[in-house]
Amino acid sequence: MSDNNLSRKNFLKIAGLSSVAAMSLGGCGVNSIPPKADPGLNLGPDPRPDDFSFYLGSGDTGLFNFIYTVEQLEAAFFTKVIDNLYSNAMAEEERILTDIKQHEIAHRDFYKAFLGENAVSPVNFDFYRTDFTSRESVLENAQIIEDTTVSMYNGVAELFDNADYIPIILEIFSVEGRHATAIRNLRRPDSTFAIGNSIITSNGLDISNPPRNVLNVLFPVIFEKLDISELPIPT
Amino acid sequence: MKNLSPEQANNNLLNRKKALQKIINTGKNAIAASLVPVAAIGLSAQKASAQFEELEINRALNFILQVELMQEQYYITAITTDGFLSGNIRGIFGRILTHQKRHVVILKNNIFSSGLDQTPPLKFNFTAGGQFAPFSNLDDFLALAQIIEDTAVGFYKTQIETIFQQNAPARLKSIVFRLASTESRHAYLVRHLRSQRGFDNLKGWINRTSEQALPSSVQSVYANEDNTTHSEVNVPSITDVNVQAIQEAWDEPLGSAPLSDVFQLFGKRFNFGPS
Repeated sequence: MSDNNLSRKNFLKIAGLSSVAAMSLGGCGVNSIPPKADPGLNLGPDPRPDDFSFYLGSGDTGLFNFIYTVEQLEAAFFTKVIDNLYSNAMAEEERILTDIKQHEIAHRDFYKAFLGENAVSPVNFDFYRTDFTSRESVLENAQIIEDTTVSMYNGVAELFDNADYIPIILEIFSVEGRHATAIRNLRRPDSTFAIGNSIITSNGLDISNPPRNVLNVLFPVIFEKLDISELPIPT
Repeated sequence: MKNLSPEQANNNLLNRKKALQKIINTGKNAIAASLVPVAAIGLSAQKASAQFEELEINRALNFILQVELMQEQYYITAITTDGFLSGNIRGIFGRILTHQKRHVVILKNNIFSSGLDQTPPLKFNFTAGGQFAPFSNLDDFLALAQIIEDTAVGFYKTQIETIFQQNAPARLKSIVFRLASTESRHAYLVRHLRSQRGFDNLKGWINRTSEQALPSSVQSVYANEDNTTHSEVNVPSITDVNVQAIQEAWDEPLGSAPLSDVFQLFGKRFNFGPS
């Protein structure tokens, strides 16, 4: 078992949370830049999917578990940010990041309670590509995570079978939009970057991604291999 | 509902609720008046209900359009007022205006020709009868922008709920979410810009202190933001997060009543119909 864990971890190090430029958050799907192996790494055998497949369910339940998993990721990331906050953080910035952390924890705990016995077990994360001592690294990765979460909410909405569930995601998704804007505004203050062309099309439409594309962006920092094969897909 | 039911139970619940909703709604005069009675001309029940759904969808889109038109007018006036906005702030609101214009076009393109009257755009008086100077006083401009943006974010939710309940095509479901998502980004930015001008407790997300120095006539926009129970989950009881953060973490939906308050502040009334 430990050998498998080691090879899985090596695999995670090979596939990277790529730089911002390589992120295809505009719905283009798989990253276009192939992952690079870290030099000097002892590359174990390829991970076997059977060992690590983590089933999220099907239909609306699967969608909620997917959302729950992403909110877990956000909560874990921002908790780590605050626990290790870079030394040159301004007071306002710290306040914003602390707020975001609190919101994501509340979201995560809400989905867990809402799902009840249908909730998947908690998932593990490894944000190894983020240098938590570096303001730029933290904000760059925070931006990817928040923009991707926004795109996830915009993408899953149409996939739900039961329209009664829509108000649930309606009340949360706009707060994620506020978060994403906050992070972008921290990186390039008081500019149009926060509402710029890389996330809002010339039609004024914010980014949207189906679960497959969302997972393509986020999987490198998720230890478990998520099985989304039975989630609804766009028509 | 606290726990998700099995899929089959979900479908049964949904079908019952939809059937009930249609019975209730077809009793409403304003909607029934535009529907041809099924029996009279032998239309199938399916076709009649599809007409009904399309009408409801168009009504919701038209309501959203009124909000977008208000935003468009507000920002056009600000941008075209000589010497008012400059520098970074001009760039930001110029970009917001670009988005609003595109939103108006998209919404108009998606309101099918169903006999729904295209109402001419309302002309708002953003000075609220002289109370404010939004196009010469930057603080007035940002305060009213905050109200307008937060109202848009909230109102989109009730209309999107209608659009989804009425079985809109997937393409339209996607569009309205993405429109609303853009509005949430605008809303953050406006609040942030305002918070930098001495409102230390004002954040990009909403809690009760949002109401600082805003007109009392539009307090309804923020009235429910204390709410911490969602889908019958009492959130403070299932998390260690503090109550204010929980309030911030959810944006409340807004119906036509708070929107009417905002329209009225700017001197206009709009008939949102029986709902």
